[in-house]
Amino acid sequence: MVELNLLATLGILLSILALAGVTALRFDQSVVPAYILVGIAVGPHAPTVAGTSLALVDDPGVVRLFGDIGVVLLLFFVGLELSLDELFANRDELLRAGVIDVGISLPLGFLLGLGFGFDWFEAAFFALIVFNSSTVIIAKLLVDLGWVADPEAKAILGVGVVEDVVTAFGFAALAVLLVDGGDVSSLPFSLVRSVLFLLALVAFAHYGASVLERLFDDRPSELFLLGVLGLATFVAGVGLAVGVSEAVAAFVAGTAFGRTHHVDRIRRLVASSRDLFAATFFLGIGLATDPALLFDTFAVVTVATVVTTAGQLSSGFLAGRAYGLDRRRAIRVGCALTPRGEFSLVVAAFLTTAGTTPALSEAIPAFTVGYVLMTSVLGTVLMRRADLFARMVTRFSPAG
Amino acid sequence: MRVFETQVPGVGRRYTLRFPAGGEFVVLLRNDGGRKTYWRENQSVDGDALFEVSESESRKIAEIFDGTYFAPVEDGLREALHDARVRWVEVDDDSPLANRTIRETGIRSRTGVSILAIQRGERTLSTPSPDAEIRPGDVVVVVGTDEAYREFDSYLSGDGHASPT
Repeated sequence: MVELNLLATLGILLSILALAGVTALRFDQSVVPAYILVGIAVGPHAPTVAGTSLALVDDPGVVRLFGDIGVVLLLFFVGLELSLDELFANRDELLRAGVIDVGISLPLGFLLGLGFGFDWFEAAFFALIVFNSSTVIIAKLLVDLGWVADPEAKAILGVGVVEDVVTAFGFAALAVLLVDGGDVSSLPFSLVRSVLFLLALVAFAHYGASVLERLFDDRPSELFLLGVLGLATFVAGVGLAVGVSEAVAAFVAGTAFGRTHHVDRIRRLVASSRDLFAATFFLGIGLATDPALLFDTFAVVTVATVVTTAGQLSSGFLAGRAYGLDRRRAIRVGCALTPRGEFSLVVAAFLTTAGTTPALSEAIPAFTVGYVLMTSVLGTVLMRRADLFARMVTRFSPAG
Repeated sequence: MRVFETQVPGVGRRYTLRFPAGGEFVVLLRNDGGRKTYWRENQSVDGDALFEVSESESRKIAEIFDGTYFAPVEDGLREALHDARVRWVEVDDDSPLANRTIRETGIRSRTGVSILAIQRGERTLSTPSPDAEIRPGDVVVVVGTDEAYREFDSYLSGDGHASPT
């Protein structure tokens, strides 16, 4: 076979991603699992069909940098969309709903991790991965289903934001403890360094909005784009270097921009870059995944999906009721919160390189890929069938 | 009618227009610029999707609602301005316009022509502020009636200190 150059390979990869995305949408599914499956199908572990391997990419490192930027931009946007003023506007309902959702789902994930034989530290990472609902998948579906016009949209995305904040802080705390391969003597130093960096970053996000405001005022579009990408990526890179993970640093950088008037412009100008790089991130996850490992973890993934989905359906329902929604809409909240996606994969990708035990660097990432594939598909189906589900529940419940 | 605004993270802004006679019109301004609309009979039922329009289409709809919709005339300015004409005037070193701000020249009150734009090399200052300075080498785009141009011509031909009429 003719050796393809990088450009041609990239062109083929992007075209396949586009095709896979179209196919996923045709089946009313999210594009995220489709991108991952493409990665698995053409990666170094690609299956062989009729004597020829489907492998297009021998080394997942080819898309590595793109994927890293994808992580930065995904989390940057999560931070950007985190409108604190909006959150505080109906603080009481949201706080009640968020506490119930997090209070049930997070410990459940932790216990499940312990049940699978992980130690407490590994189980804590595991809990973050299985508890965070995918804002990317949910937001898209809310529009498709028209729920965005209904009162539950605010509860669903509000709880999603609360989950993201909890995950970001939990992730930062755990990542700091993971630094330097368990070299205990350097732990205090790196701990102090990471905490100082985070404090400085959060302080800047809080007080530095006016500086960003002026710095990016009246810039031509392309310079604006370059500036935002440059700043977000640089902050993320420093975050990675001091051990708080690029994702958390990018998240905080996003919140800083979220407090300026540039939010709308960033959404308009940077969103397409995010979509491109995020797609290569999901692709890269697939490329690095060995399908054999995926089959090995199938049983664990299935158990985890059943347990956490049941847990999420109940915690989401109770959260919806606490938010003041009626029974049918509360069931919708439960269904909507079940898909897992980008944040789980970001944590897993971090563990692949930074993990200090075999469980952290291999078992949990492999599990996460299968888990995200299963919950994102199942969650999408649950959302589309939520009203049927609600009718069934009403019929079989005595209070109905 | 009451209007409620909600930020929907990752999607856009949602406006709910609640009519006194009942029913809610929901407009979703998506981050990508599209507008999606829904109609709800009351607060407890689900919204029905109505239609989705692009940013420019929605602007047109807004103008129609606002009563300011203006369909441009085929033949452009010449037709629309009726008795007025647009002219391009080069400013040389000893023009009475040179090195003065628009306010200082006072040509609108003196002659009746207005400055629409100043072309400076590759750049165009459209609707310049009264404090914009006119420099030698600029091309000034002006609009006015024939009568105003007669005044303007005499002003340019050195009668720069004539008092306003």
